[in-house]
Amino acid sequence: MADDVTAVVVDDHPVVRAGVAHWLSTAGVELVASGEEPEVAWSGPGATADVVVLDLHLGGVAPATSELRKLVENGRRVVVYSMRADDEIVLQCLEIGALSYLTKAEGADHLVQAVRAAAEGQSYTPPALAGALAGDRSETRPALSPRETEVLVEWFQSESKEFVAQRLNITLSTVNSHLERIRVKYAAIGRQAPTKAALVARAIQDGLIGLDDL
Amino acid sequence: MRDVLEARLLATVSRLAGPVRGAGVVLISLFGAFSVSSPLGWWLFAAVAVSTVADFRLPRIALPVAFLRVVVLSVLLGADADQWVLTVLTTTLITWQWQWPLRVTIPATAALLAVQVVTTGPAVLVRAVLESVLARLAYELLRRSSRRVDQLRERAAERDVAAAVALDQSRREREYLALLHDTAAATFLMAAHGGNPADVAAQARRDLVVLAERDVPGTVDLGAALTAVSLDSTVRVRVDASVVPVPAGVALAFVRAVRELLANVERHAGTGEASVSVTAGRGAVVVVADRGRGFVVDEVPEHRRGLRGSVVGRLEAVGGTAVVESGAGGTVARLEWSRTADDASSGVGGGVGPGDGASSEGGARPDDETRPGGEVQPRRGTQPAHADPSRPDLAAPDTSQSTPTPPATDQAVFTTTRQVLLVVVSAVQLVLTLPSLVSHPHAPPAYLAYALLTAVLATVAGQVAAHTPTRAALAAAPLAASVLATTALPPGASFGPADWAFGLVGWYLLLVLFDKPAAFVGALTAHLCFSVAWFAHGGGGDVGTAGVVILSGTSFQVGVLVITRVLERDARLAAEAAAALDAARTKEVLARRREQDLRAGFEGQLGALLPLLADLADERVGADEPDTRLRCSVAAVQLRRLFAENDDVPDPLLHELTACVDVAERRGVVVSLAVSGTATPVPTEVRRELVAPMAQALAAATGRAKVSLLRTATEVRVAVVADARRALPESHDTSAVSVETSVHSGLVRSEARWRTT
Repeated sequence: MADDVTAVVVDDHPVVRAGVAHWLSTAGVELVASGEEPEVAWSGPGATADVVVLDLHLGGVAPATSELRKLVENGRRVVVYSMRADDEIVLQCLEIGALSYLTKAEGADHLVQAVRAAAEGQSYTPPALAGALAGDRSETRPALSPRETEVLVEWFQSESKEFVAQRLNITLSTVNSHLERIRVKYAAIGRQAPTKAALVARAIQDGLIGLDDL
Repeated sequence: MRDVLEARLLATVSRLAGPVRGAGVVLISLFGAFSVSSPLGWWLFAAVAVSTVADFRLPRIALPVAFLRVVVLSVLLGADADQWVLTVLTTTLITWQWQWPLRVTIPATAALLAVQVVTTGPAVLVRAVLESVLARLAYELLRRSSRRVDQLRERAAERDVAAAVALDQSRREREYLALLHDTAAATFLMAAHGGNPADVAAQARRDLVVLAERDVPGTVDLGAALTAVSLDSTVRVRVDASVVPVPAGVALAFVRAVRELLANVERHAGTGEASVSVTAGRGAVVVVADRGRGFVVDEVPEHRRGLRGSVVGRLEAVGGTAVVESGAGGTVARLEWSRTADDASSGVGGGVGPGDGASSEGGARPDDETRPGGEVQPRRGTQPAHADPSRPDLAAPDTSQSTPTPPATDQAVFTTTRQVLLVVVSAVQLVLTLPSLVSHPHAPPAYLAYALLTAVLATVAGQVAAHTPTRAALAAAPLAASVLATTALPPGASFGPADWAFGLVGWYLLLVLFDKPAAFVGALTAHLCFSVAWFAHGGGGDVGTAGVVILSGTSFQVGVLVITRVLERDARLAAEAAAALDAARTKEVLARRREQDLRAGFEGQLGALLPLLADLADERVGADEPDTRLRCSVAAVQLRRLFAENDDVPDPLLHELTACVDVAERRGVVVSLAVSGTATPVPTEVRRELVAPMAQALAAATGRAKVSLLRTATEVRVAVVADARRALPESHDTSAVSVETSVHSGLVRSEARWRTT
């Protein structure tokens, strides 16, 4: 099943593209196209890839948020991959509808997990993103339960879900469902996007979250 | 520096009072002689002119001469020339008030008035007394105003000095910090890296010499230092230590002496317990006691050697004393060091303890214990530069000295003056001029003039009430009134009793124009010229009386103008001085706060680290022992954090974290640092508490560590997850910061949290 996953990488650094290709191939994800321009995700084999791995800083200084928006509005599942870790941009990408946000300092493991989750239309929250969510001071941020906040913070601090599970005396899958629920709460706010709507719909369908929690 | 403005004002006024009286009296007498126009008048004028030599040149006899002058004029002229005598009298009384103190002027004035009442009757009394009192009041008003400016200026200057002292102290301590960076920090890092033990020891010895040489008074907290020594001892030690800042050289002597005493307890006392107390006293007092079996000091050669060399000798070398008493109930060693005038220059190399035992009991003790303890004695050692930072007067802005009221602005002075003038003008117009107007035959325009002036009075009163400015153009109204009233006078009545308007118009001009001196003088001159021209046009008359009236009238108005200008200048200077005081005070508070932050940081840190450096130097521990390496690693991180604390950066907390991470990475630990949320201001002491557990765990980390900083809307959280197994930070909950440490699957997680709200 995992072998079915296809991805396209948009990044202006050949070294990064090569690195990502290597990581994905060892994890059984098929990289169908890659290039330095967003066009690779719109034409040829890239147009039908399950997941788009998008570098937010394609040569320019300004983040390529408009590219991200176009992809998301077309129902594409996007994992943002960036040098930058400013909380503001991270939160903005989530608001637009990216399924994950990874900094390039975070290694292969997180990238692979993010791509796999995105292929299923699911979110993935790496530690840096957890930190950004925990430090979110915006007016519109969703209300998180104390437990959810604690999971978020512990995950940010330790980078190990096993460690978080031990610390909080919960199972690994509980850690994951807490993180998922947090992302669903975030998906329910702000601008509409197909990926976000799908996240919320599925969470409600699976009983992960109640309508009252949103 | 002291009372500059007041002294200058007093000197100027008392110097000018004599000449002003002299000139005034001569002028008045000239017009008076014209008016009398008799040989007696001219003789008297000549006599007055000669007598003014005393006013101009001989201040010692000026008072009796002036007294006699008035008496002679009054007796010889009597009621014939009442204007002349009266004006000389008032001029004399007014200038006396400026020249001599009350104890001279009151009897002199009373005597002169008594003579006057006898010769010319009591009519003069009211005016003479009133003018004397007004002159004295004006004088005191100016004096107080100047004194206030002086006091403000002086306070500003004092604060400026205090700020400079604090800044200088802060600079010296920063230099010391740089020195630490080059010495102890480098040595600890070298030991933590597993450097050659012999090299580390040699370097530690060199460090101690340099640190002790460059003593900054009170750089090491002796309490922290001896607490560290006690914790390191194999004997169980009960420590009671206050914060006692001493020079590094002195702290080092105490560290080595107490180390020796505790070793003695372990070796000879037959007890596993001892107590160490550290108190401030006049410098530092340390008592090391045990309840062991004791010994007779002089009978134990081994003890004698150890105590002489390691304890007594070391303390004496830094100007301190050590007394060891032992007996059946145990042993008590009392080590003392007093802050003296030159404690800044006494280091470890300050002297070598004499080999003779008698000297320790001799007169070498810097502070005789028989001196009364409560004596308040200025000591150089307790100057502000060296003072205990906990002293409240240095720690916080001194509220008792704060300016009582906001500085008066020019506007406030002007408003007050205008209010006073309004009262004066109303009184003059109603009480003095109205009877004069109605009791003499004036042409109708006189009544128009009176109405016009009344309208001006109402206008100004309205403006004062509404706090709106008075315009200079309003002066046209009194000038017009001057023309109307003067031309409406009966023939030849100028400057006589019927001339109600001459003096009154002058007051009006002052009321409108006193804040514009040039315009006032111009308008007054115009008024004067027109009045004099009309007087001349009407064929003149009693020129002398006219002159006296003009002189006495205008001099009063000009005097008020001068006083207003001086007050206005004082108010401006006071405002400037108050601003300077504020600036200096702010500067001082900032410098003090910075100095305190700096101190509280490194007194304690260096105090805790000095024993380790001494142990390395004395080769009691070696850099090849894992335990020592760990301690050195912790010390290196702590010092690095201390340096980072003193850098001026936009995000100090992150800067200090980065500094600690940097030291750990240099030791070969792989550290990742994650930051979330935006920078929040965190007080220095909270920052210290937040960073310390992380620094400790990081120093103990062996391979990998993750440091994170999270800043939410309500909290700042610093966490470390590391593969450290020893020397873990303890969980605790201080008032501000709570620390939690736990171990899971071989990883230690330590987190410090601070609630921002």
